[in-house]
Amino acid sequence: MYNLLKEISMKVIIEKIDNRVKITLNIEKFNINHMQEIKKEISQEIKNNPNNIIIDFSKVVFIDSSGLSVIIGIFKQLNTLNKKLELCGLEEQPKELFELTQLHKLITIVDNCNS
Amino acid sequence: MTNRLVIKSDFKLLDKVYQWLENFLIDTTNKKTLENILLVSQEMVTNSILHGNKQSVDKEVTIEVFITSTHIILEITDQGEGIKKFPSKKESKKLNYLEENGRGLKLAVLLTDYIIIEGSTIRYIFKN
Repeated sequence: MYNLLKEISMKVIIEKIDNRVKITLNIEKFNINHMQEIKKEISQEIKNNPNNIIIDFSKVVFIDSSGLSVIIGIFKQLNTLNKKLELCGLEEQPKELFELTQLHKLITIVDNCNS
Repeated sequence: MTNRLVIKSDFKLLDKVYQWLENFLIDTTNKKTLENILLVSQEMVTNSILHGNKQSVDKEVTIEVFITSTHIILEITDQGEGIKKFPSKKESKKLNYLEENGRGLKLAVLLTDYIIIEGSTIRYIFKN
């Protein structure tokens, strides 16, 4: 089942799919410009609705350390709640940066966002 | 197309830096080197705005690119006191990315072949 929950901002779309929450990042470059807003929205969602989360990166062509820090914060927040974080649909640059920083060993990365 | 871009200390201008550099270098280097230069530039212009110019909008960041037969040199100048020291390659490789601080500098070290500090001007040199 695919229920649209809410489009919180132009940058983040949040959907509930079965027993997890799918968050689509509606940005091309995940840098310091989007950091605070995305961090706040997702963190609030986790507080309101603690669940496993999958983040859809298909629209993101570039991420830097500011973007990474948001993902690490979400990972840590979910970890304390015994919930899982998955990332899907990563383009080449984001995927390579998660590998370079070894974060792919901590955070599950899958190709398909609809599996 | 000029090899020099000057921006005010406004994070919204990071996209302009990205676009300018991509257009300038796209026919000059391979995809991997271009990606590395784009990431280092975004990290270090962010650092210049945040820590160098302390987000004073009247202060500027200058980005210049020089292409030689063997290297691409990215030069970033801000109006702050400059970075005294970068972590070593060894320290950068060992880094724990779950730590909060210093990720940008360590990434710049990992993705650059040489870094030369000259006051508030820093040259990031990439083999091409």
